[in-house]
Amino acid sequence: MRYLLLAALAALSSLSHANTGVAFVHGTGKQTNATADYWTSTFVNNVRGGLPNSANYVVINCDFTKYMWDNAAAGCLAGQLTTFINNRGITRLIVITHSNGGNVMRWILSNPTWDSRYPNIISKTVRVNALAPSSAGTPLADAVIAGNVFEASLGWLLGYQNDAVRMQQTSWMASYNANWLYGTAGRPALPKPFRSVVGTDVDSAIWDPDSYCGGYAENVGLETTQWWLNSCSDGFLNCSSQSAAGTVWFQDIARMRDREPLSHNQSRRACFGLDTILRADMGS
Amino acid sequence: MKTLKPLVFSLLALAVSAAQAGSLLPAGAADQQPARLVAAPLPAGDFERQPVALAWPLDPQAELAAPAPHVAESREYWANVDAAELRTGYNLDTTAPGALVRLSPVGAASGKRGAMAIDPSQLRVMRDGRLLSQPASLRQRATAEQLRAAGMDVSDGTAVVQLEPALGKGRFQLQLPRAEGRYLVHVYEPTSDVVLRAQADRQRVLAGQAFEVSAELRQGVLGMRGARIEGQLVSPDGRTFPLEFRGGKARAQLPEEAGGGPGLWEVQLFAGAASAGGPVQRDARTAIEVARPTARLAGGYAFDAAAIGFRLPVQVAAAGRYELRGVLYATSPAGRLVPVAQAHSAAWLEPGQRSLSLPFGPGNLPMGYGAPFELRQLELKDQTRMGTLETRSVALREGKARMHTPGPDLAR
Repeated sequence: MRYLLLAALAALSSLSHANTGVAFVHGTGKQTNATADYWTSTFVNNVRGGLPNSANYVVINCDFTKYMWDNAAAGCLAGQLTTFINNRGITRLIVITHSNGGNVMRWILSNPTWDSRYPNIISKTVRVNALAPSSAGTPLADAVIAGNVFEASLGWLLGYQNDAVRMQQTSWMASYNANWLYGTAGRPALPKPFRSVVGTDVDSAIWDPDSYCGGYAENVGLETTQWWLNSCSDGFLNCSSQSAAGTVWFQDIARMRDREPLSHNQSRRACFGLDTILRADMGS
Repeated sequence: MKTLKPLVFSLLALAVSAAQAGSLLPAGAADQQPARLVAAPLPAGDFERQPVALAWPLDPQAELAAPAPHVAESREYWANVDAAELRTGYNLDTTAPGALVRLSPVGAASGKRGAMAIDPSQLRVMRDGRLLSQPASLRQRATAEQLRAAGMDVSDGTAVVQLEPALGKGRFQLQLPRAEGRYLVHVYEPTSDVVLRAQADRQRVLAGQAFEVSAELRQGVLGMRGARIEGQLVSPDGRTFPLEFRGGKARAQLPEEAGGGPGLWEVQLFAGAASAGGPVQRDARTAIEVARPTARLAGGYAFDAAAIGFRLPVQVAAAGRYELRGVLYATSPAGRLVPVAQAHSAAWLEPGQRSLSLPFGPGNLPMGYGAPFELRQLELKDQTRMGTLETRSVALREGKARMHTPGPDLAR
């Protein structure tokens, strides 16, 4: 009993001496102002408010239209995280990713020797809170790219420039998960916890005010795209893809206000108490 | 004292096995091994030059197993359709109610007007040439803007509609009265039991080697009689190589110069059959990693028992950054081999006889665990050309049998 008490006190002591910071890592796309264009300042401010020092945050702006290992993707992420860690003296880094941002962060965790900046980022990272990560890809990427096979007049895929969408095809992610990434079934564990928040459904009824959180127009499209997916999906990703790597932290309906589901666009917004849960997580 | 005993025995066991050298175990059937090496040019780009190594502990209770190659399953097909067909009514053959139909305008043919953006409210559905009541024949409609907002990166002017499930299955005609130019029609039947399944027999392959692809068009659990399957192997830069299917299998031969670029190779499959309900079509794809054999393991190793690390000689044919990664299995107090640590190590290597170390570190060995060790899931990778060069599911066994000591067994 005494040992347990001592261990708990030691953990508390190390936490109190730690300098915790949070990084927000966006999904597919090239961002220059992800606070406004991807997350919203309400979401970012509510979450970072849970830190002992709420100024210890960084919103990543990189080009995630590239393959995850590209210098413009993981290289850019590593650069911005390293600068944040060094400038703010961060000793405990909590990383919040959304969608394909989870793959880029998982690339860094799974390939520590790719870039000499990676080991320091890994050593400072205490966990990744992966919001709706596309860990096993999405059939929507399959549909878009397959269409391109037929559309491109010059040959296969030559007319399509978004490597990140190509990479998130289900068969491609299966290959990357088997050869380059960790944390999926049967593969070695990642060096740091990677826990996902899983969106299970989309509400887009015009009479339901919950459909408007995160933007009504976005949710209307998700109702259609959901047809490409399983019965459990957030409109862009199957629950199985969101749960494929690391551990499931929680499914939306288990923790959201009134058991509301989080559509793929709502899982990066201050919807149904998601921001409050993430805010509370900053202190542990 | 109880907790110290296993540590003492572990250290003794390590000391006995210090500075061992030996040969790698023979490659297994599932392992990849280059038979030849090529001096591939260095691709353009900025690459890390500093040596980097990192190891971390694994949960000894974790069950590690190589994942099976991806099984592609398709309930969809694509077709190119010209405006004249769409104006009169394009035949849509469906095998289940509620098919989703995506229409995308395709670039204009030379000297002709390009296809206009599609307004989904202009689409009509006919059966046997008779117009069905509108808009009840289509349940769901979405524009390109709505689909993009949802993350589906469709091309300009695309529209998606869903046939009203109450209309059932079979042949319909889709009509766009003001169609111009050419269109891509994508038919997806989420509830259909007609599925094209395809699978490669491995996750990765080296340039110049071959692999096998299996494919079957099924209705329910049975293969469809008279199904015809065609396919092609496609490189990341768009080169195609035809595949000939016999008995549901095709052998894909990679050219010697394959690999080296970003992206994966794809197997693209096109299947068709005649069923009682009409013609059936399905298209499917699956991906495979292809690497150029720029380096290989030379076959030996040295083991540093104190550091719990290995050094492996590597034959390098092309300058680049190479990585070794592997899982250390150690013997638990109960005498079981279990995974205890993962290690990675990479360095820039010039052509010639080189070596790479793989340090796991004694800090990653749980208390009470020790020799004999096994190095499993060993992989040699070319980071500059993004390829897996050599794999060994079990690379080596090292250390004499440990003395059994009582203690906590994390693997139990």
